[in-house]
Amino acid sequence: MNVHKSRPPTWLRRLAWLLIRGPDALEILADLEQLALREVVQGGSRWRASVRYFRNTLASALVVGWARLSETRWFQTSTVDWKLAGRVLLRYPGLTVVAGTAIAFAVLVGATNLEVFMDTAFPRIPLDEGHRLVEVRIQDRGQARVVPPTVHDFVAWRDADVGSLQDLGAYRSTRRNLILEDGRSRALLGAAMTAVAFRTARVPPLMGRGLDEADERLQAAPVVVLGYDVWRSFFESDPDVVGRTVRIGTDISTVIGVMPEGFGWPRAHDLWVPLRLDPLGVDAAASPPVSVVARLAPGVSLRQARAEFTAMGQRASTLLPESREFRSPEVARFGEIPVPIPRLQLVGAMVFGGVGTFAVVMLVAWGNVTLLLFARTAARRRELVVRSALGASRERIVGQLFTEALVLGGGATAVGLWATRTATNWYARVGSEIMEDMAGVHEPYWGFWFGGGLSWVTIGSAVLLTVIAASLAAVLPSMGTAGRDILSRLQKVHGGDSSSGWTAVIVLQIAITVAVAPLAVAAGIGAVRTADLDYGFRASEYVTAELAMDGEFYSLVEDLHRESRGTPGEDYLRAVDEIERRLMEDPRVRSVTRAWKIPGDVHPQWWLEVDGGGAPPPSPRGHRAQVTAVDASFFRSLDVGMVEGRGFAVTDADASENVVVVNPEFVRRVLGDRNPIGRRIAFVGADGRGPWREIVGVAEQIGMTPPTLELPGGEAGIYLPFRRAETYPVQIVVRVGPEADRFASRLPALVHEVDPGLQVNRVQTLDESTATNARVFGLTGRFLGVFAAVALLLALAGLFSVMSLAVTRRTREIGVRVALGAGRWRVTRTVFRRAVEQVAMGVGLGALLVGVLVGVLFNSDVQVRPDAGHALGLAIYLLLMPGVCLLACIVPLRRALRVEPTEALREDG
Amino acid sequence: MARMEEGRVGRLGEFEQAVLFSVLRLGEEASGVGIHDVLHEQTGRRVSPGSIYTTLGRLEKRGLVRSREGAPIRGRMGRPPKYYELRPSGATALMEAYEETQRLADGLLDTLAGLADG
Repeated sequence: MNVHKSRPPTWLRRLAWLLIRGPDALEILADLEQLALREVVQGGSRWRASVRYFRNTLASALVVGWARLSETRWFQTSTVDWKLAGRVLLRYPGLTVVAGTAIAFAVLVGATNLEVFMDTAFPRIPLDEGHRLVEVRIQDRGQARVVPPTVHDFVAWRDADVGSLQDLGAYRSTRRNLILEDGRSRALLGAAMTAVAFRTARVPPLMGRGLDEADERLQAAPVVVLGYDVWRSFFESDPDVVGRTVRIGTDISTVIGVMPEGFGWPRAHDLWVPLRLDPLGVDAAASPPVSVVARLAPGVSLRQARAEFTAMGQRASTLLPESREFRSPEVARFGEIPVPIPRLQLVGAMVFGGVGTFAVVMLVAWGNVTLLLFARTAARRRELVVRSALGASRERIVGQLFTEALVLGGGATAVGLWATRTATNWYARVGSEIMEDMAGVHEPYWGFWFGGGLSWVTIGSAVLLTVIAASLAAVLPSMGTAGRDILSRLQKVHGGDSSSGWTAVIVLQIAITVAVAPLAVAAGIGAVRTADLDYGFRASEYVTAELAMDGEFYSLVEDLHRESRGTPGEDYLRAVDEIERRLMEDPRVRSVTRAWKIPGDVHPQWWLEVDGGGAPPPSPRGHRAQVTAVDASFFRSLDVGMVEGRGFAVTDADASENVVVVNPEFVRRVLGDRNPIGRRIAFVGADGRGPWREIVGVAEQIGMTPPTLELPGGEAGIYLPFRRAETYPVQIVVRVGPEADRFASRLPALVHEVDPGLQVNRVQTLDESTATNARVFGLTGRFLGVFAAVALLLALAGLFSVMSLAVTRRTREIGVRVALGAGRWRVTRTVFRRAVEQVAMGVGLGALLVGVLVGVLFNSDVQVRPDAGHALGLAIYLLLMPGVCLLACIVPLRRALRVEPTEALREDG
Repeated sequence: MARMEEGRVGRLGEFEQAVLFSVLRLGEEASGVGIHDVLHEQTGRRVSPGSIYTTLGRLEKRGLVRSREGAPIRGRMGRPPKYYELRPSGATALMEAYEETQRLADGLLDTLAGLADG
């Protein structure tokens, strides 16, 4: 047998030579070869012997490499450093907690920001080959925006048999009522989609089957596939749900399948019904919009798919120059935000916006942590002197400081990343709940892929920033020094130039605390004030609900360009009339009325002009007031009396009648308390002044927009007559009495008896109408509050560290001065002068930031007008802050005052 | 000094015991490949030469085995194999480790067998 031909290939042997190093390397390589050769000699294949040789090579290289590493001096000293770092963290628990909290919080803020950005700009779709899923949209060059394709476009692409894409399907988001036999109902986000689009996700159903081409036929029986959560909560995990019939809007549908947990394709959908297209029945111009999804064909890149569709768009524009001149199809990664931003710009935004913000937040936190670590290192001078005397080099000491910073930073970063993961999941959940509460008409902005695990960019950024920050925290204190001068440097922590950097850090920290805390308080007050809206009538006796048409949602792409929510159809108006009639027949109901915006909603504020003048307008553009439209029965139903003039009559809703009712605050602020009846006002919009409207009455003051912020128009309000044919969606206000709460739960069933397709959103008692806004403000306030608290904690810890250090270092000096007859207070004043300066600078800078913020808000559209109360509160706060900051100096100050000259001299002598 | 010496020899790990038993079993033929084969035959484990030599190197440093060079054989890149043998301290350490295991298992084998049978 030829030994050379039986050996593993040369390249493999060379690789083994390359990987296996060390004193026993030759023995190992020889054994490897002997084993491989023997296998072939004994009849085994050369291939198998080579594979075994390769596996043995890798395993040997790992074992030998690790053994060699563990024997190195570096490894052994590093191990000591790691252990020492752990002990130091435990020996200074206060510092560990403060610095760890600061880093963890910085990671939480920076990483959450980056993570939300990544989820939005670079979504990772957790489906099989999710990165190859694409969406086809239309780039409207004429209007420089992205628009959804139409059914006509979709059918054309599908029939053109495009080579770069496969599984080309279409869907439309719909909001449908799911109604059970027992009357329970829920409005769900559904997708009417083609069978191909459904299969594009490549997720098999948990039970039953998915959508099929046969389901798409116009004559096919209606079917529905349910989402996991709906099946669990609405059908109590019924194992026999497949085959059951349910009412989906106006259709009686058969359940054909249940999808597994977490499946929300294509966004956050709960149920799926077939999309039935009738391309022949729709001409190109009137073709409805759809969303088109597909997968890149095997081996095809996104660039190639784009090129094919661009070419197709050019051909279409040549054939149909009028309608397609500016419309060109565009292939985008699925889930990317539907705005025409080049990918390069997105990457730039990620680097500068996401990672950059992360870096800045980390810089602020680590700046302070470095100060704390530096102060602690200075306090451990004796230990370092001993180490240095025993021969530790400067590099060794810096290495040890680096390891300590890394252990602290690593642990805190891990906690911060864990918190980020929890926060992003929470954000996705609470965000969708809030959106549900607000009953938007568009698709959710986030998809089922939001939350979940953290992206590698986020984790990588956190790790990298931590390592960089830990390096700087270890190296900075010793920069510019040579050899063992690091020790003398540590002595100078409080004196001269070396502390100017720390001064900046402390000043910045105090400034941030000073600036953020009022925002937190403002948001918190906003939440309280929102919830405490003075309705002016017994709001708890009323049930309100928004009635919307069942049907198709506007896709995210469309929604970006929509301003109005449409106009009501005939069926809708009839259904609302019938609901009102039936409600009135219910013995529990005392009255029913309708409104565009109900008390507690955020009302739009319109600019207006007053005929004949009024109070001097606060802005050159004129006055502003909150506006709503109410039915003729509104004031009567709410027991709101008229202060002057009359309320609305049914005939006021005619288009020819231009009358309004105002509130007393309007009379005071806008008309300057002049007689309002008969006066005329006109709204001023982008198109100029609208028609003049006559004031026919003044209604008693009731709550409109919650007083979360000071609105420019204050509580001045205008009521327009409710024009049924123009106002959509309708909010009904039902007066029930003390049992309103119980009645609210019955309302959806009553509505669905009239029209199963009607959406009943935001069913609540009227006093709950501010709950969602209050929640948003409450969350913002809490977040800002925690942020301010962490900033304050850091500032106080920084001051405490520096002052403690100063006292320790100058104990001897204080002792000598006191012994020479200097007063204790006078001596300590010199020690604490710097702290007072830092606090003064920090508070001053913070006050400046608050001023800028107030100025910006004052000039913005929101216009917060600080009144005397606000100004006083802010002044007291700014006066108190120095005191709070100087609290950190109390302990060091007491120590300084207790310095006994004899002890001080003995100690250092 | 005796304590230090004892500390240096230290306890034998499970794999170290397996290697020493293999050396013992092979007698004068205890080469790396030989130990590899014994471990495979007796325990079913396929161990890489790297693991064997790293362990042998450690045992040699602790004075538990010694090595000698044999005559060159074919198919080993011309390199003569290295043969290992137990030193008295190695034999003592192995015996102590084995007795320790036996003491721990004393009187428990029937119980163990019963448990294993379910």
